[in-house]
This record gives sequence, C-alpha cells and structure tokens, in this order.
Amino acid sequence: MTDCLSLRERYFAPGVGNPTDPEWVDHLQTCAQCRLAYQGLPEVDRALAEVARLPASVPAFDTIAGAAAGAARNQRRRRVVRRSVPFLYTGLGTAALAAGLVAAVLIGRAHQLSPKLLAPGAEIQATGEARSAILGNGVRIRLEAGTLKLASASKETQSLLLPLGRVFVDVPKLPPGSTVSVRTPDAEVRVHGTRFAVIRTSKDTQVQVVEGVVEVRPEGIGRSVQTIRAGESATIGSAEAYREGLRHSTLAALDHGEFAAAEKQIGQLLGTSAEAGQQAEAQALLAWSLSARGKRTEAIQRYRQALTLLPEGQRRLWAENACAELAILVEQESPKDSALTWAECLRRFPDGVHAALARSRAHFTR
Amino acid sequence: MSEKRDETILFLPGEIGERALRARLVAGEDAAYRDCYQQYAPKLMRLLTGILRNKARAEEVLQETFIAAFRGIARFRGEVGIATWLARIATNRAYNAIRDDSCVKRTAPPPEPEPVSRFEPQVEGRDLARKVMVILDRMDPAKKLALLLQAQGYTVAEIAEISAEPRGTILARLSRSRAELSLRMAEAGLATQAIPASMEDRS
Repeated sequence: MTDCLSLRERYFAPGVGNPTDPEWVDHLQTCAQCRLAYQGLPEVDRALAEVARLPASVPAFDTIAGAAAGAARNQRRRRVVRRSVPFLYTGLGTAALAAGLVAAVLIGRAHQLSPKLLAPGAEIQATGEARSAILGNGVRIRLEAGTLKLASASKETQSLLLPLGRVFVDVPKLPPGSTVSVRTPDAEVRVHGTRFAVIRTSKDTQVQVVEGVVEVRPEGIGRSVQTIRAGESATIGSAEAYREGLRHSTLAALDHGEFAAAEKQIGQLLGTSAEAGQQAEAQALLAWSLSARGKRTEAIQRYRQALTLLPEGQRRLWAENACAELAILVEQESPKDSALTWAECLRRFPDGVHAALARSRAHFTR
Repeated sequence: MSEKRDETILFLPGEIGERALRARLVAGEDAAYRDCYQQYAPKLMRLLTGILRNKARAEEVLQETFIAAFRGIARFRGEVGIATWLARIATNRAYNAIRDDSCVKRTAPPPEPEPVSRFEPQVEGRDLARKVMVILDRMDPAKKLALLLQAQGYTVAEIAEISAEPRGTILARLSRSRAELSLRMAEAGLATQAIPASMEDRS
C-alpha cells in the first residue's frame, strides 16, 4: 500500500503525462486499484474542466462600489503623504515638489493624479501643473515641468526622453533583463526597480534617488557610469559642455603635436550624440592629425567623410580649410582626381578664403 | 467616459497587465477597482461556490473578499499575482464562514441546483460537473480545495501560495486527490473506461 501511495504521488500529479518508468509499468500490471485510478485520470481532468466552466453569476460591482471608492480615496491620500515625506530630505527642489503634491490635494485636484497611459511615441507636457502617466509595465511617472516623451517601449525596455523639465519616476520591481530609462541630452538614467527624480535644466541633469539604486550613464563614451543610491543625488554636466571641453583639449593636443592624445579625444567626441556639424568637425580634426602623421590615404577618407557630414549650405572656416587640405592631399596622392576636388571646393565655398587658390589649381590641374 | 477608458491600460495579458493594474490600484484610480472586480470576480465566484456550495453565501464572501482586498491594497507588494492574492483572501474567508456557520449550528441549505435549459448545448458537461462537485463535497476539505483550485487553472506554485503550504506538500496532495477522485468517479459510474476484470478481485 505504501508503494501505491508513493508511486501515485509521483505519477498522478497534473501534467505528468504518460510515464514509462518500468517500476510504474510493473506496478500497474499488478495493482488493479492503481490501474483503475490511472486509467480514469483523463476523465478526472475532463470533469475538473467542466467544474471550471460551471456558470457563476457575479453580483454587480455597484454592490461594493461605495467601499471601493472609499478604499481608492484612502489610497490616493496615503500615496500623496508617502511621496511627500522622503522628498523633504532631498533638498529644496524636491521639497517644493512634495509641497506641490499636498497643495494639489488641498485644492481638490486629487483626481488629476489619476495616471493615464503613455503610448509609445506619445508626449506629455506639464505647463503650470503636474501631469501623471503610467507605462505598460506599471511604471508610474509624474512630470512636474517640461516635456516628456515615451521614445520606445518593448516588453524589456521602456525609454523616456526628457529634453527639459523635471520628472519623478516610480518603477516597480521588474523582471530580470527589463529596464526603464530616462534619457536627457546629457545622460541616460537606467533603473531596475526604484523611485527617483530627474531634473533637466539648460545647464545640466540632476538625479535624486528616493528608493533603490539607479545607474547613470552620462552621454559620451569617455564618461564613467555612476551608481546612485537611495538618499543620494548627482549632477551630470551637460553633454554640450562635455563636448566643448573635448574639442578644446583636442585642439590643444594637436597644437602640441600630441597626435595620439588628440585622436583618443576625437574618438570620445565622436562617441557622443553630437549634431552633424560637430561630428563633421571632429572628423576633419582626425583627418588633420592623420595627415600630420603621414597617413594620407586615411586622412583623405576622413576629410571626405567630414565634408559629407557637413550639411550643404553651412560655411565654416574649418570646413573651407578641410576642403583645401583634402584637395592638396589628393593632388599628392592621385593628381588626376585633384581638379574635381578643387572644383568641389569652389562649388561649396565659392567666396571662401581659398577660392582664389581653388580656381587656379582647378584650372592648372585640368 | 469612453475617452477616459481609452487612456488606461487594461487586460494586458500576463505580468505586465497585472503590474499595471496593481499600480493603478495603489494609485487609487477609481476605474481600476471596477476593472479589478470585473476581471477576477467570475473566477473567484466559481471557486467560492465550489467551497461553500451556497450561492448567497458565496456572493457575501466574494464581496467581503474584494472589500478586504481593496482596503489592504497598500500591503500587497506584488510578490504573487493578483488572482492568487485574491484567491488566498477568498479561501481564508470562505473557511472562516464555514467555521462560523458550524459554530452557530446554522444549517446550511442544500446546494442550489441551477436551472438548466433544455436546449443548452453544455448540459452533459454541466451534469458531469455537478456530480463531480457532489463527490468533492465528500472528500477531505484540503483535497477538495486543491482540486477546485487546479480546476480553476491555478498552478501548483499558486495553490501553494493560496494554501500557505510548501509546494511539495501541495504536489503530493494533488496527486493523492486526483487518484482518489478517479476511484470515486469510477465507483459512481462516471468514468468512461471499462473497469478491468482484475478489479473484481480486490485484495
């Protein structure tokens, strides 16, 4: 009998299927009770499925609507108070946020805290009053000021874009591999389950963490990732200032003939989301460095890339210099192509500082 | 109203939808409470009717369950699914109700047979279900609960959460319960398989 019980525990569990364990097969041959019970299992599953299909008339929600509304009201009140408290400790800016929340309740605007779904690509704006929203994975956001866009949303990743403004994010515990991020022009703040605020001003991005840990990845490959814990805050300098700093140090390195250092910094500059004109200038600086080190073919490629990246119609001194240097390098490397290169310089910069030279060289090399 | 509903996320399948619903409940969004009720009440009602075998009592317990859940939503951390959490509250309250009824010696009315339409296509299945419910009533309450929860589609892990018992215990109980139900169904002539000849000579 003990055998029957232990074997049944093993083979009668839901979803076990048709076991071929010799011990069980032998037992079925000899034990009529187990055989009978085992043969009846499909019927048991069918009967249980029918039990689940039995009709159930549910009383209308209205019977508990009053209690539900009371619970919802309490929940809103509790939520507002709970949010307000930690903010008192995180500086004047966040204290103002908490006060704003309390004030919103006092003036009877609690209903506006009801979250709305933010669909991928959708944008919300907070002009004068805060806006709340919810993402598909349960992440709750409260935009205090500025504009926020849900740039992309998949099962694993939700990416918010904050060009300017202040947002508070409440992320529930996410499944492994899932992330929520807030991108500003200066940094990406990635989280896995926490509450935090991101404030993007014209100068920088500030991150304040209330609960959990967030990872801040400043814009640009040369900048170190920062981990910010509960109660801590960090200010990430603007990506524009970072790029400007890199540009200056690159020019200084080139002036001193430190080509390796200059090229490393140019690599970092190209690793940021710089606009086309900035990327073009970085490519031209790299070409200049390569040319100085005698790598003419690579320099030609980089100069061409720089001039392709520079939007048509933009006339910058560095670009005029780059075009002329490209043409000179082409003359040295492949004289038959140089006329075309000079002609291209004239087309793009007809009144440029090298226009006279370009005209004469284009004519001379034809 | 319809405009507002468009802006909320509802009934997204799986974890994502559950997390969103929980977030809305925690935020105190009125519509979320109605949505939660409409989504989970039918399944819970079937479970409670199965446990209590009394429709009026089941309705009472269902309402108590949701009111308790809504009031305690702040304590729900989302470690288990909303359906599992609600089922745990519902079963605890159902057994409390059974205990209370037996303390005051209240005679429970016999199970109320639901009117069956003569033209209903599912009559045969419902008849089987009702007969099986009678068999389940005669089984040990813990075994009955395990089978009822399995019938409602809860996994072994979820049944363990609802019953507050280890998974291994639940798995063993489910196996034993299924074997017992199978034998009882055979005895009641509900099994379609022919009883083997060797059954006649039970040792």
